[in-house]
Amino acid sequence: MTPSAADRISTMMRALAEVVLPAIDPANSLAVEQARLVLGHLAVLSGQGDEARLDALELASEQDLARQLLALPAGGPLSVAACANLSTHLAQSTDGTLAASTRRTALRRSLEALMRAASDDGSEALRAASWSLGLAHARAQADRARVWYAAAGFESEPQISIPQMLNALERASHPEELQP
Amino acid sequence: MTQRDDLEPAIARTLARKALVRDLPAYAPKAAAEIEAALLRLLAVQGHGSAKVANVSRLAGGASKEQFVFDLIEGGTSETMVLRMDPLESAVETSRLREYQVIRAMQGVVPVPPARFVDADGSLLGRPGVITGFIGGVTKPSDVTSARISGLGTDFGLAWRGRLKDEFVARLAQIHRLDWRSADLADFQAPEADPHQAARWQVNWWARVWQDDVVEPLPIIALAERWLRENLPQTTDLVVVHGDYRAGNFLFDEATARMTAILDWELVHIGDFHEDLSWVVQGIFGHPDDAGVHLASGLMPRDKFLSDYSKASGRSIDARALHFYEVLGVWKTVILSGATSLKAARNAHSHQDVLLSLLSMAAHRFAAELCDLLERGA
Repeated sequence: MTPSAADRISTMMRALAEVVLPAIDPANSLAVEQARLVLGHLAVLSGQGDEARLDALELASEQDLARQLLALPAGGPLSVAACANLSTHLAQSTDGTLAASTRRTALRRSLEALMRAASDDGSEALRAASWSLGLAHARAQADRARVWYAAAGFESEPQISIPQMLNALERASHPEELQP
Repeated sequence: MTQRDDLEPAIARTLARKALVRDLPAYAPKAAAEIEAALLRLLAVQGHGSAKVANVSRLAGGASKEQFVFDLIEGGTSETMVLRMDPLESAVETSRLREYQVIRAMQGVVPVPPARFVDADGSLLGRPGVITGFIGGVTKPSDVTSARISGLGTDFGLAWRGRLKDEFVARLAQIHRLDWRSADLADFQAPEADPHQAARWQVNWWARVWQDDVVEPLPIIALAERWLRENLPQTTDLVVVHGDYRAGNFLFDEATARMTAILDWELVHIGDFHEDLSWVVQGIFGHPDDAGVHLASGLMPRDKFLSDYSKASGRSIDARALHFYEVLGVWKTVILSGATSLKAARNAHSHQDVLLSLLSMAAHRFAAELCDLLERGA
Protein backbone atom coordinates (compact mmCIF):
# COMPACT_ATOMS: atom_id res chain seq x y z
CA MET A 1 0.00 0.00 0.00
CA THR A 2 2.81 2.43 0.84
CA PRO A 3 4.93 3.11 -2.22
CA SER A 4 8.66 2.65 -1.65
CA ALA A 5 11.16 5.41 -2.35
CA ALA A 6 12.45 3.35 -5.29
CA ASP A 7 8.95 3.16 -6.79
CA ARG A 8 8.38 6.88 -6.36
CA ILE A 9 11.77 7.79 -7.86
CA SER A 10 11.15 5.50 -10.79
CA THR A 11 7.85 7.21 -11.61
CA MET A 12 9.44 10.65 -11.31
CA MET A 13 12.21 9.64 -13.69
CA ARG A 14 9.75 8.35 -16.25
CA ALA A 15 7.68 11.54 -16.12
CA LEU A 16 10.78 13.70 -16.46
CA ALA A 17 12.25 11.69 -19.33
CA GLU A 18 9.07 11.05 -21.29
CA VAL A 19 6.94 14.12 -20.63
CA VAL A 20 8.90 17.05 -19.20
CA LEU A 21 12.17 16.87 -21.13
CA PRO A 22 10.58 16.55 -24.58
CA ALA A 23 8.35 19.55 -23.78
CA ILE A 24 11.21 21.90 -22.97
CA ASP A 25 12.16 24.42 -25.64
CA PRO A 26 15.55 23.18 -26.94
CA ALA A 27 16.66 26.81 -27.15
CA ASN A 28 16.38 27.04 -23.35
CA SER A 29 19.77 25.48 -22.70
CA LEU A 30 19.67 25.97 -18.92
CA ALA A 31 16.28 24.28 -18.60
CA VAL A 32 17.35 21.32 -20.75
CA GLU A 33 20.59 20.96 -18.81
CA GLN A 34 18.86 21.17 -15.42
CA ALA A 35 16.24 18.60 -16.37
CA ARG A 36 18.94 16.16 -17.48
CA LEU A 37 20.90 16.73 -14.30
CA VAL A 38 17.81 16.10 -12.16
CA LEU A 39 17.23 12.90 -14.07
CA GLY A 40 20.83 11.88 -13.40
CA HIS A 41 20.46 12.65 -9.70
CA LEU A 42 17.32 10.57 -9.46
CA ALA A 43 19.10 7.68 -11.16
CA VAL A 44 21.85 7.83 -8.51
CA LEU A 45 19.26 7.96 -5.72
CA SER A 46 17.24 5.09 -7.15
CA GLY A 47 20.16 2.70 -6.79
CA GLN A 48 21.19 3.68 -3.27
CA GLY A 49 18.49 2.30 -1.03
CA ASP A 50 18.53 2.84 2.72
CA GLU A 51 20.77 5.80 3.58
CA ALA A 52 20.15 5.33 7.32
CA ARG A 53 21.79 1.90 7.11
CA LEU A 54 24.96 3.45 5.71
CA ASP A 55 24.84 6.29 8.28
CA ALA A 56 24.75 3.75 11.12
CA LEU A 57 27.76 1.91 9.73
CA GLU A 58 29.66 5.16 9.19
CA LEU A 59 28.90 6.17 12.77
CA ALA A 60 30.26 2.87 14.08
CA SER A 61 33.47 3.48 12.13
CA GLU A 62 33.89 6.98 13.62
CA GLN A 63 33.21 5.63 17.12
CA ASP A 64 35.86 2.98 16.66
CA LEU A 65 38.45 5.55 15.55
CA ALA A 66 37.55 7.86 18.43
CA ARG A 67 37.97 5.08 21.01
CA GLN A 68 41.39 4.15 19.65
CA LEU A 69 42.64 7.74 19.73
CA LEU A 70 41.23 8.44 23.20
CA ALA A 71 43.16 5.47 24.56
CA LEU A 72 46.43 7.33 23.90
CA PRO A 73 48.15 10.06 25.97
CA ALA A 74 46.90 13.42 24.65
CA GLY A 75 49.91 15.72 24.97
CA GLY A 76 49.72 19.51 25.33
CA PRO A 77 46.72 21.66 26.29
CA LEU A 78 45.23 21.87 22.80
CA SER A 79 45.23 18.11 22.44
CA VAL A 80 43.92 17.62 25.97
CA ALA A 81 40.99 19.93 25.18
CA ALA A 82 40.36 18.25 21.83
CA CYS A 83 40.35 14.81 23.47
CA ALA A 84 37.86 16.02 26.09
CA ASN A 85 35.62 17.35 23.34
CA LEU A 86 35.90 14.11 21.39
CA SER A 87 35.12 12.11 24.51
CA THR A 88 31.94 14.12 25.06
CA HIS A 89 30.79 13.61 21.48
CA LEU A 90 31.64 9.93 21.61
CA ALA A 91 29.36 9.56 24.63
CA GLN A 92 26.61 11.56 22.90
CA SER A 93 27.00 9.49 19.75
CA THR A 94 25.23 6.59 21.41
CA ASP A 95 22.09 8.68 21.99
CA GLY A 96 19.60 6.87 19.81
CA THR A 97 17.10 9.73 19.93
CA LEU A 98 19.26 11.65 17.43
CA ALA A 99 19.63 10.61 13.79
CA ALA A 100 22.79 8.61 13.06
CA SER A 101 23.82 11.19 10.46
CA THR A 102 23.64 14.00 13.06
CA ARG A 103 25.69 12.03 15.58
CA ARG A 104 28.19 11.03 12.90
CA THR A 105 28.71 14.63 11.76
CA ALA A 106 29.30 15.84 15.34
CA LEU A 107 31.75 13.03 16.00
CA ARG A 108 33.55 13.62 12.72
CA ARG A 109 33.90 17.31 13.54
CA SER A 110 35.53 16.42 16.87
CA LEU A 111 37.82 13.94 15.15
CA GLU A 112 38.93 16.57 12.64
CA ALA A 113 39.58 18.99 15.50
CA LEU A 114 41.67 16.39 17.31
CA MET A 115 43.73 15.74 14.15
CA ARG A 116 44.50 19.48 14.05
CA ALA A 117 45.32 19.70 17.75
CA ALA A 118 47.57 16.63 17.52
CA SER A 119 49.53 18.45 14.79
CA ASP A 120 50.12 21.36 17.17
CA ASP A 121 50.92 19.76 20.52
CA GLY A 122 49.90 16.11 20.49
CA SER A 123 51.99 13.46 22.21
CA GLU A 124 54.24 11.45 19.91
CA ALA A 125 51.88 8.50 20.26
CA LEU A 126 48.83 10.61 19.39
CA ARG A 127 50.54 12.26 16.44
CA ALA A 128 51.64 8.91 15.02
CA ALA A 129 48.34 7.16 15.64
CA SER A 130 46.21 10.03 14.37
CA TRP A 131 48.23 9.81 11.15
CA SER A 132 48.17 6.05 10.64
CA LEU A 133 44.67 5.38 11.99
CA GLY A 134 43.33 8.56 10.42
CA LEU A 135 44.60 7.59 6.98
CA ALA A 136 43.25 4.05 7.27
CA HIS A 137 39.89 5.41 8.40
CA ALA A 138 39.82 7.97 5.58
CA ARG A 139 40.63 5.29 3.05
CA ALA A 140 37.84 3.01 4.26
CA GLN A 141 35.36 5.89 4.43
CA ALA A 142 36.24 7.08 0.93
CA ASP A 143 35.96 3.55 -0.45
CA ARG A 144 32.48 3.15 1.03
CA ALA A 145 31.34 6.51 -0.30
CA ARG A 146 32.74 5.73 -3.74
CA VAL A 147 30.59 2.64 -3.94
CA TRP A 148 27.59 4.58 -2.60
CA TYR A 149 27.96 7.35 -5.19
CA ALA A 150 29.38 5.25 -8.04
CA ALA A 151 26.32 5.82 -10.21
CA ALA A 152 27.18 9.54 -10.33
CA GLY A 153 29.76 8.61 -12.95
CA PHE A 154 32.98 9.71 -11.31
CA GLU A 155 34.24 6.13 -10.98
CA SER A 156 35.53 4.05 -13.86
CA GLU A 157 34.23 0.78 -12.45
CA PRO A 158 32.88 0.17 -8.94
CA GLN A 159 34.39 -2.93 -7.35
CA ILE A 160 31.19 -4.10 -5.63
CA SER A 161 27.52 -3.18 -5.53
CA ILE A 162 25.94 -1.13 -2.74
CA PRO A 163 24.04 -4.11 -1.22
CA GLN A 164 27.22 -6.21 -1.27
CA MET A 165 29.14 -3.41 0.47
CA LEU A 166 26.48 -2.84 3.15
CA ASN A 167 26.17 -6.56 3.85
CA ALA A 168 29.94 -6.95 4.16
CA LEU A 169 30.14 -3.98 6.51
CA GLU A 170 27.33 -5.25 8.67
CA ARG A 171 28.97 -8.67 8.91
CA ALA A 172 32.22 -6.94 9.95
CA SER A 173 30.36 -4.88 12.58
CA HIS A 174 28.53 -7.92 14.01
CA PRO A 175 30.90 -10.89 13.59
CA GLU A 176 28.78 -13.02 15.92
CA GLU A 177 26.15 -13.19 13.19
CA LEU A 178 28.60 -15.18 11.11
CA GLN A 179 28.54 -17.97 13.65
CA PRO A 180 26.54 -21.01 12.53
CA MET B 1 50.24 37.94 11.66
CA THR B 2 50.87 34.23 12.19
CA GLN B 3 52.13 31.94 9.44
CA ARG B 4 48.59 30.54 9.12
CA ASP B 5 47.14 33.99 8.41
CA ASP B 6 49.69 34.73 5.69
CA LEU B 7 47.52 34.98 2.57
CA GLU B 8 47.77 36.98 -0.64
CA PRO B 9 45.85 40.18 0.25
CA ALA B 10 43.71 40.14 -2.92
CA ILE B 11 42.70 36.53 -2.24
CA ALA B 12 41.83 37.40 1.36
CA ARG B 13 39.58 40.23 0.09
CA THR B 14 37.90 37.91 -2.41
CA LEU B 15 37.18 35.28 0.24
CA ALA B 16 35.85 37.91 2.63
CA ARG B 17 33.21 38.86 0.03
CA LYS B 18 31.60 35.47 0.45
CA ALA B 19 30.62 36.26 4.03
CA LEU B 20 28.59 39.23 2.74
CA VAL B 21 26.28 37.07 0.63
CA ARG B 22 25.96 33.97 2.82
CA ASP B 23 22.64 34.94 4.36
CA LEU B 24 21.00 36.30 1.21
CA PRO B 25 17.93 34.55 -0.21
CA ALA B 26 18.09 32.05 -3.07
CA TYR B 27 19.74 33.09 -6.32
CA ALA B 28 17.62 33.28 -9.47
CA PRO B 29 19.37 32.58 -12.76
CA LYS B 30 19.47 35.73 -14.89
CA ALA B 31 17.11 36.04 -17.86
CA ALA B 32 18.29 37.40 -21.20
CA ALA B 33 16.35 40.64 -20.76
CA GLU B 34 17.99 41.29 -17.37
CA ILE B 35 21.41 40.70 -18.87
CA GLU B 36 20.70 43.06 -21.76
CA ALA B 37 19.67 45.84 -19.36
CA ALA B 38 22.71 45.21 -17.16
CA LEU B 39 25.06 45.32 -20.15
CA LEU B 40 23.57 48.62 -21.34
CA ARG B 41 24.16 50.11 -17.87
CA LEU B 42 27.78 49.02 -17.92
CA LEU B 43 28.37 50.19 -21.49
CA ALA B 44 26.86 53.63 -20.78
CA VAL B 45 29.15 54.18 -17.78
CA GLN B 46 32.18 52.98 -19.70
CA GLY B 47 31.71 55.43 -22.57
CA HIS B 48 29.67 53.33 -24.99
CA GLY B 49 26.28 54.99 -24.47
CA SER B 50 25.38 54.67 -28.14
CA ALA B 51 26.03 50.91 -28.22
CA LYS B 52 23.24 48.40 -28.59
CA VAL B 53 23.10 44.84 -27.30
CA ALA B 54 21.42 42.06 -29.25
CA ASN B 55 21.04 38.28 -29.37
CA VAL B 56 21.76 37.63 -25.70
CA SER B 57 21.77 33.92 -25.05
CA ARG B 58 23.07 31.68 -22.29
CA LEU B 59 26.11 29.50 -22.86
CA ALA B 60 25.51 25.97 -21.60
CA GLY B 61 27.98 24.10 -19.41
CA GLY B 62 30.30 25.28 -16.69
CA ALA B 63 29.78 24.72 -12.99
CA SER B 64 30.99 28.03 -11.75
CA LYS B 65 29.94 31.26 -13.48
CA GLU B 66 26.86 32.30 -15.46
CA GLN B 67 27.94 32.82 -19.06
CA PHE B 68 26.15 34.64 -21.87
CA VAL B 69 27.03 35.38 -25.46
CA PHE B 70 25.75 38.58 -27.10
CA ASP B 71 26.39 40.99 -29.96
CA LEU B 72 27.57 44.49 -29.18
CA ILE B 73 26.58 46.84 -32.00
CA GLU B 74 28.27 50.23 -32.15
CA GLY B 75 29.24 52.64 -34.92
CA GLY B 76 27.96 50.36 -37.65
CA THR B 77 29.99 47.36 -36.51
CA SER B 78 29.01 44.32 -34.51
CA GLU B 79 31.20 42.18 -32.30
CA THR B 80 30.17 38.98 -30.55
CA MET B 81 31.18 38.93 -26.90
CA VAL B 82 30.99 36.69 -23.85
CA LEU B 83 29.95 37.77 -20.36
CA ARG B 84 31.13 35.69 -17.38
CA MET B 85 29.31 36.70 -14.24
CA ASP B 86 29.33 35.47 -10.64
CA PRO B 87 26.20 33.95 -9.15
CA LEU B 88 25.96 34.56 -5.38
CA GLU B 89 28.15 31.52 -4.71
CA SER B 90 29.68 28.88 -6.92
CA ALA B 91 32.20 26.04 -6.98
CA VAL B 92 34.91 28.58 -6.29
CA GLU B 93 35.04 32.20 -5.17
CA THR B 94 37.38 34.20 -7.40
CA SER B 95 37.95 37.71 -8.73
CA ARG B 96 36.71 38.90 -12.12
CA LEU B 97 39.18 41.81 -11.93
CA ARG B 98 42.16 39.45 -11.73
CA GLU B 99 40.74 37.40 -14.57
CA TYR B 100 40.42 40.56 -16.70
CA GLN B 101 43.94 41.72 -15.86
CA VAL B 102 45.60 38.42 -16.65
CA ILE B 103 43.73 37.97 -19.94
CA ARG B 104 44.99 41.41 -20.97
CA ALA B 105 48.51 40.53 -19.87
CA MET B 106 48.43 37.30 -21.89
CA GLN B 107 47.49 39.01 -25.19
CA GLY B 108 50.20 38.09 -27.67
CA VAL B 109 51.74 35.58 -25.26
CA VAL B 110 49.26 32.72 -25.66
CA PRO B 111 45.88 32.59 -27.42
CA VAL B 112 43.28 34.31 -25.24
CA PRO B 113 40.08 36.15 -26.06
CA PRO B 114 40.36 39.95 -26.12
CA ALA B 115 39.46 41.41 -22.69
CA ARG B 116 36.82 44.12 -23.23
CA PHE B 117 35.16 45.23 -19.98
CA VAL B 118 35.11 44.39 -16.30
CA ASP B 119 32.72 45.18 -13.46
CA ALA B 120 34.85 44.16 -10.50
CA ASP B 121 32.32 44.79 -7.75
CA GLY B 122 29.10 44.17 -9.65
CA SER B 123 27.82 47.70 -9.13
CA LEU B 124 26.74 47.91 -12.80
CA LEU B 125 25.95 44.34 -13.80
CA GLY B 126 24.37 43.35 -10.51
CA ARG B 127 27.11 40.81 -9.86
CA PRO B 128 30.85 40.98 -10.67
CA GLY B 129 31.49 40.16 -14.32
CA VAL B 130 34.07 40.20 -17.08
CA ILE B 131 33.42 40.61 -20.79
CA THR B 132 35.68 39.24 -23.51
CA GLY B 133 35.48 38.86 -27.24
CA PHE B 134 33.99 35.60 -28.51
CA ILE B 135 36.50 33.12 -29.90
CA GLY B 136 35.45 30.13 -31.99
CA GLY B 137 36.64 26.63 -31.28
CA VAL B 138 35.75 23.45 -29.45
CA THR B 139 36.88 21.89 -26.16
CA LYS B 140 36.68 18.38 -27.57
CA PRO B 141 36.43 17.01 -31.09
CA SER B 142 32.88 17.13 -32.40
CA ASP B 143 33.07 13.47 -33.41
CA VAL B 144 33.77 12.41 -29.81
CA THR B 145 30.70 11.82 -27.68
CA SER B 146 30.91 11.86 -23.91
CA ALA B 147 28.34 12.22 -21.17
CA ARG B 148 31.01 13.44 -18.78
CA ILE B 149 31.30 16.96 -17.44
CA SER B 150 33.53 19.02 -19.73
CA GLY B 151 37.23 18.34 -19.15
CA LEU B 152 36.75 15.43 -16.77
CA GLY B 153 38.29 12.41 -18.46
CA THR B 154 37.87 13.80 -21.98
CA ASP B 155 38.94 11.16 -24.50
CA PHE B 156 40.29 13.05 -27.53
CA GLY B 157 41.03 9.82 -29.39
CA LEU B 158 44.44 8.77 -30.71
CA ALA B 159 44.57 11.05 -33.75
CA TRP B 160 43.54 14.20 -31.88
CA ARG B 161 45.94 13.47 -29.05
CA GLY B 162 48.77 13.49 -31.57
CA ARG B 163 47.64 16.82 -33.00
CA LEU B 164 47.04 18.64 -29.70
CA LYS B 165 49.61 17.44 -27.18
CA ASP B 166 52.67 19.43 -28.30
CA GLU B 167 50.88 22.77 -28.35
CA PHE B 168 49.28 21.96 -24.99
CA VAL B 169 52.77 21.64 -23.47
CA ALA B 170 54.26 24.57 -25.36
CA ARG B 171 51.48 26.96 -24.33
CA LEU B 172 51.91 26.10 -20.67
CA ALA B 173 55.62 26.84 -20.94
CA GLN B 174 54.75 30.17 -22.59
CA ILE B 175 52.38 31.12 -19.78
CA HIS B 176 55.14 30.44 -17.29
CA ARG B 177 57.56 32.53 -19.33
CA LEU B 178 55.50 35.73 -19.04
CA ASP B 179 57.49 38.58 -17.50
CA TRP B 180 54.87 39.21 -14.85
CA ARG B 181 56.92 41.89 -13.11
CA SER B 182 56.55 44.10 -16.19
CA ALA B 183 52.93 43.20 -16.86
CA ASP B 184 49.97 45.24 -15.64
CA LEU B 185 48.78 42.86 -12.92
CA ALA B 186 47.88 45.49 -10.34
CA ASP B 187 45.57 43.25 -8.32
CA PHE B 188 48.19 40.50 -7.88
CA GLN B 189 50.81 40.24 -5.18
CA ALA B 190 53.90 38.05 -5.38
CA PRO B 191 54.94 35.67 -2.59
CA GLU B 192 58.44 37.04 -2.14
CA ALA B 193 58.75 37.41 1.64
CA ASP B 194 60.57 34.09 1.93
CA PRO B 195 61.10 31.02 -0.29
CA HIS B 196 58.26 29.08 1.39
CA GLN B 197 55.66 31.81 0.97
CA ALA B 198 54.38 30.68 -2.44
CA ALA B 199 53.48 27.26 -1.07
CA ARG B 200 52.29 28.67 2.28
CA TRP B 201 49.89 31.10 0.58
CA GLN B 202 48.28 28.19 -1.25
CA VAL B 203 47.88 26.09 1.89
CA ASN B 204 46.43 29.04 3.79
CA TRP B 205 44.09 29.93 0.91
CA TRP B 206 42.45 26.51 0.76
CA ALA B 207 42.54 25.92 4.52
CA ARG B 208 40.55 29.13 4.84
CA VAL B 209 38.08 27.97 2.16
CA TRP B 210 37.56 24.68 4.00
CA GLN B 211 37.02 26.52 7.28
CA ASP B 212 34.44 28.83 5.67
CA ASP B 213 32.61 26.25 3.58
CA VAL B 214 32.74 22.90 5.39
CA VAL B 215 29.39 21.13 5.53
CA GLU B 216 30.43 17.60 6.49
CA PRO B 217 33.76 17.42 8.36
CA LEU B 218 36.44 15.08 7.01
CA PRO B 219 39.42 14.23 9.24
CA ILE B 220 41.57 13.58 6.13
CA ILE B 221 41.45 17.32 5.39
CA ALA B 222 43.23 18.05 8.68
CA LEU B 223 45.77 15.27 8.11
CA ALA B 224 46.60 16.55 4.63
CA GLU B 225 46.92 20.08 5.94
CA ARG B 226 49.37 18.83 8.56
CA TRP B 227 51.46 17.12 5.88
CA LEU B 228 51.38 20.17 3.62
CA ARG B 229 52.52 22.54 6.38
CA GLU B 230 55.36 20.20 7.29
CA ASN B 231 56.52 19.81 3.69
CA LEU B 232 56.37 23.31 2.17
CA PRO B 233 58.78 23.46 -0.78
CA GLN B 234 60.92 26.51 -1.49
CA THR B 235 60.20 28.59 -4.58
CA THR B 236 62.28 31.43 -5.93
CA ASP B 237 61.43 30.93 -9.63
CA LEU B 238 58.02 32.64 -9.50
CA VAL B 239 55.71 32.43 -12.52
CA VAL B 240 52.11 33.16 -13.44
CA VAL B 241 50.27 29.95 -12.50
CA HIS B 242 47.11 29.45 -14.56
CA GLY B 243 45.60 27.35 -11.78
CA ASP B 244 43.20 25.29 -13.92
CA TYR B 245 45.20 24.36 -17.04
CA ARG B 246 43.78 21.10 -18.42
CA ALA B 247 41.55 19.52 -21.04
CA GLY B 248 38.25 21.35 -21.18
CA ASN B 249 39.84 24.73 -20.50
CA PHE B 250 41.22 25.42 -23.96
CA LEU B 251 39.52 25.82 -27.31
CA PHE B 252 40.95 24.52 -30.56
CA ASP B 253 40.06 24.82 -34.22
CA GLU B 254 39.13 21.47 -35.75
CA ALA B 255 40.34 22.45 -39.20
CA THR B 256 43.86 23.43 -38.15
CA ALA B 257 44.14 21.57 -34.80
CA ARG B 258 45.56 24.79 -33.30
CA MET B 259 44.53 26.26 -29.98
CA THR B 260 42.31 29.31 -30.40
CA ALA B 261 41.97 30.30 -26.74
CA ILE B 262 43.04 29.32 -23.26
CA LEU B 263 40.09 29.83 -20.91
CA ASP B 264 39.09 29.84 -17.23
CA TRP B 265 41.81 31.97 -15.70
CA GLU B 266 39.90 32.49 -12.48
CA LEU B 267 42.38 30.62 -10.25
CA VAL B 268 45.40 32.46 -11.64
CA HIS B 269 48.09 33.65 -9.23
CA ILE B 270 51.82 34.10 -8.96
CA GLY B 271 53.50 31.00 -7.64
CA ASP B 272 55.38 27.82 -8.43
CA PHE B 273 55.22 26.26 -11.92
CA HIS B 274 55.01 22.79 -10.33
CA GLU B 275 51.47 23.70 -9.30
CA ASP B 276 50.24 23.79 -12.91
CA LEU B 277 52.11 20.57 -13.74
CA SER B 278 50.53 18.75 -10.81
CA TRP B 279 47.07 19.93 -11.91
CA VAL B 280 47.51 18.64 -15.46
CA VAL B 281 48.39 15.15 -14.18
CA GLN B 282 45.46 14.88 -11.73
CA GLY B 283 43.63 11.58 -12.18
CA ILE B 284 40.17 13.07 -12.73
CA PHE B 285 41.28 15.09 -15.77
CA GLY B 286 42.75 12.09 -17.59
CA HIS B 287 41.89 8.52 -18.47
CA PRO B 288 43.72 5.31 -19.36
CA ASP B 289 44.57 4.62 -23.00
CA ASP B 290 43.91 1.27 -24.68
CA ALA B 291 47.04 -0.18 -23.06
CA GLY B 292 45.94 1.00 -19.60
CA VAL B 293 48.47 3.84 -19.40
CA HIS B 294 46.97 6.91 -17.73
CA LEU B 295 46.95 9.94 -20.02
CA ALA B 296 47.45 13.30 -18.31
CA SER B 297 44.53 15.54 -19.29
CA GLY B 298 43.68 12.85 -21.85
CA LEU B 299 46.65 13.84 -24.00
CA MET B 300 49.85 11.99 -23.08
CA PRO B 301 51.43 9.81 -20.41
CA ARG B 302 52.47 11.67 -17.27
CA ASP B 303 56.24 11.14 -17.71
CA LYS B 304 56.11 12.26 -21.34
CA PHE B 305 54.19 15.39 -20.34
CA LEU B 306 56.72 16.23 -17.64
CA SER B 307 59.77 15.64 -19.83
CA ASP B 308 58.25 17.58 -22.75
CA TYR B 309 57.43 20.47 -20.42
CA SER B 310 60.95 20.45 -19.06
CA LYS B 311 62.35 20.66 -22.60
CA ALA B 312 59.89 23.35 -23.69
CA SER B 313 60.42 25.54 -20.63
CA GLY B 314 64.07 24.89 -19.83
CA ARG B 315 63.02 24.25 -16.22
CA SER B 316 64.07 21.30 -14.11
CA ILE B 317 61.30 19.48 -12.32
CA ASP B 318 61.82 18.86 -8.62
CA ALA B 319 60.12 15.57 -7.69
CA ARG B 320 59.49 16.66 -4.07
CA ALA B 321 57.94 19.96 -5.13
CA LEU B 322 55.80 18.19 -7.72
CA HIS B 323 54.57 15.73 -5.10
CA PHE B 324 53.76 18.57 -2.69
CA TYR B 325 51.67 20.31 -5.34
CA GLU B 326 49.95 17.05 -6.28
CA VAL B 327 48.87 16.66 -2.66
CA LEU B 328 47.83 20.32 -2.57
CA GLY B 329 45.88 19.97 -5.84
CA VAL B 330 43.91 16.91 -4.78
CA TRP B 331 43.32 18.35 -1.28
CA LYS B 332 42.01 21.51 -2.94
CA THR B 333 39.75 19.43 -5.19
CA VAL B 334 38.24 17.66 -2.18
CA ILE B 335 37.58 21.09 -0.66
CA LEU B 336 36.08 22.60 -3.82
CA SER B 337 33.80 19.65 -4.52
CA GLY B 338 33.02 18.43 -1.01
CA ALA B 339 32.69 21.78 0.75
CA THR B 340 32.33 24.88 -1.47
CA SER B 341 30.12 23.27 -4.11
CA LEU B 342 27.90 21.63 -1.53
CA LYS B 343 27.65 24.82 0.54
CA ALA B 344 26.62 26.87 -2.51
CA ALA B 345 24.02 24.25 -3.46
CA ARG B 346 22.63 24.07 0.09
CA ASN B 347 22.33 27.84 0.20
CA ALA B 348 20.55 27.80 -3.20
CA HIS B 349 23.03 30.45 -4.31
CA SER B 350 23.96 29.28 -7.80
CA HIS B 351 22.26 28.77 -11.14
CA GLN B 352 23.89 25.32 -11.06
CA ASP B 353 22.83 24.01 -7.64
CA VAL B 354 21.92 20.61 -9.06
CA LEU B 355 25.26 20.23 -10.81
CA LEU B 356 27.14 21.42 -7.72
CA SER B 357 25.45 18.84 -5.51
CA LEU B 358 26.31 16.21 -8.13
CA LEU B 359 29.94 17.38 -8.14
CA SER B 360 30.10 17.08 -4.38
CA MET B 361 29.78 13.29 -4.76
CA ALA B 362 33.16 13.27 -6.52
CA ALA B 363 34.85 14.45 -3.32
CA HIS B 364 35.17 10.86 -2.13
CA ARG B 365 37.09 9.80 -5.21
CA PHE B 366 39.46 12.71 -4.59
CA ALA B 367 39.72 11.76 -0.90
CA ALA B 368 40.85 8.28 -1.92
CA GLU B 369 43.46 9.82 -4.24
CA LEU B 370 44.58 12.04 -1.38
CA CYS B 371 45.11 8.93 0.76
CA ASP B 372 47.23 7.42 -2.04
CA LEU B 373 49.39 10.52 -2.28
CA LEU B 374 49.82 10.93 1.47
CA GLU B 375 50.78 7.27 1.89
CA ARG B 376 53.32 7.59 -0.90
CA GLY B 377 54.86 10.77 0.48
CA ALA B 378 54.65 10.20 4.21
